[in-house]
Amino acid sequence: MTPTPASATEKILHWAVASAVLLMAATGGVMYIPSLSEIVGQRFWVRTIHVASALAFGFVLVLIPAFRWSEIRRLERDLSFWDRVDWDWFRRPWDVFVSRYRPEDSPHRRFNAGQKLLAALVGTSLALLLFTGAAMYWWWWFSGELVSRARDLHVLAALGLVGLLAGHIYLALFSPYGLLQSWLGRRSPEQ
Amino acid sequence: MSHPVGRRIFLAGLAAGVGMVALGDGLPAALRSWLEGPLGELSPSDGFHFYSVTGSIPSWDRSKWRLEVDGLVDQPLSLSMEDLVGTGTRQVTADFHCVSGWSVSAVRWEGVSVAALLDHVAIHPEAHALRFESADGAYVDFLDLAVARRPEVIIALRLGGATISAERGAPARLVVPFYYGYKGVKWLRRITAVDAADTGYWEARGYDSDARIRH
Repeated sequence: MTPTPASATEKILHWAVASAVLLMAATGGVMYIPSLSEIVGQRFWVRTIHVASALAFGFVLVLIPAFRWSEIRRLERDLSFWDRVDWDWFRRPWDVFVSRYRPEDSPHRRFNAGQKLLAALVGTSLALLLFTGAAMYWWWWFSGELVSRARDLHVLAALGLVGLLAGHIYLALFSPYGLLQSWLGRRSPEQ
Repeated sequence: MSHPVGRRIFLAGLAAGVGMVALGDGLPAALRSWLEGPLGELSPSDGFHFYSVTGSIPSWDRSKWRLEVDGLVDQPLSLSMEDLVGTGTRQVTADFHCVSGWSVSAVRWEGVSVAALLDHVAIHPEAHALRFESADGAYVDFLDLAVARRPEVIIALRLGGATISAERGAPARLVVPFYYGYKGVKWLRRITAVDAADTGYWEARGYDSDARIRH
């Protein structure tokens, strides 16, 4: 639950990252899954779009903080800092799963612990994907063994990220606080 | 009391990743193999990635398939699969390197050496290169004659002890173990002796004409 509405900067950041990540996941999936590779072919262009999305993503990561540093810094603090209520969230997994859990709300609590953990893991995965992707793209600067390990970690991080995003999209749509309930007008006022 | 746990997770994950790439030895590969196990056909199990410039795999019928060898030769050939195998096969084992950064170790190819084929066509003295044409209708590449005559340059019919699969270039593909994979024309249907090497499919799109592996 995010009681405070997202700012324009946060929305732009979220959807810019989401667009780039979805494009990278789609093109990465085409390159990774043999049957999709065979259907689509044109690997050169698929790979070019994949790399261009990564570069655009990196550009967004530099551009937005450059213009909205204090806002991004505040967002980072909101997501980074965990307190007793956050740890309590993890101690009651069943209540969280069935949406029975109600935190001791404070008016300043913008994200729950699950959202904070997701942000940290997605951030880690994306950083690893950029770092290993760079080693794969400029492979001739590195030893064959290092590139090979970077490639394996790239696949691991990508699979992990796909799992995280699948969970994120599922909860964003279907949780009691999700978009579907909102669209159907079933969200109760106190939520 | 709050702590920057998210920041610590991020930094620890990044450090673990960098450490794994720099010093991880076989750990990333082992983790990947473990994670990909349940994915089955969804993961590239033999390590190869599929490339096609046309988005399709040419179909072929073993009874009708022919490999044409023509151009600046006295005796052009039109070889069936049986003719080709009858020329004599040999094995070549080498690491496969793709110019886009992935490799497959110790790939075992089996096929007919290009040099052996050339012995049957009486090549003209003015021919200095060979043009290799794919049945996909788009992909061509060239080898200097001296390179093509090296014994490890083969027209592969088998891969890893089995008949080569459609996505790897069946029924026949060129294998040049000391060059990057883009020189290995898949779905080979014609070899033409020409006076000089021209520009291949990827070389025309910016790839280095010197395809020697630099690892």
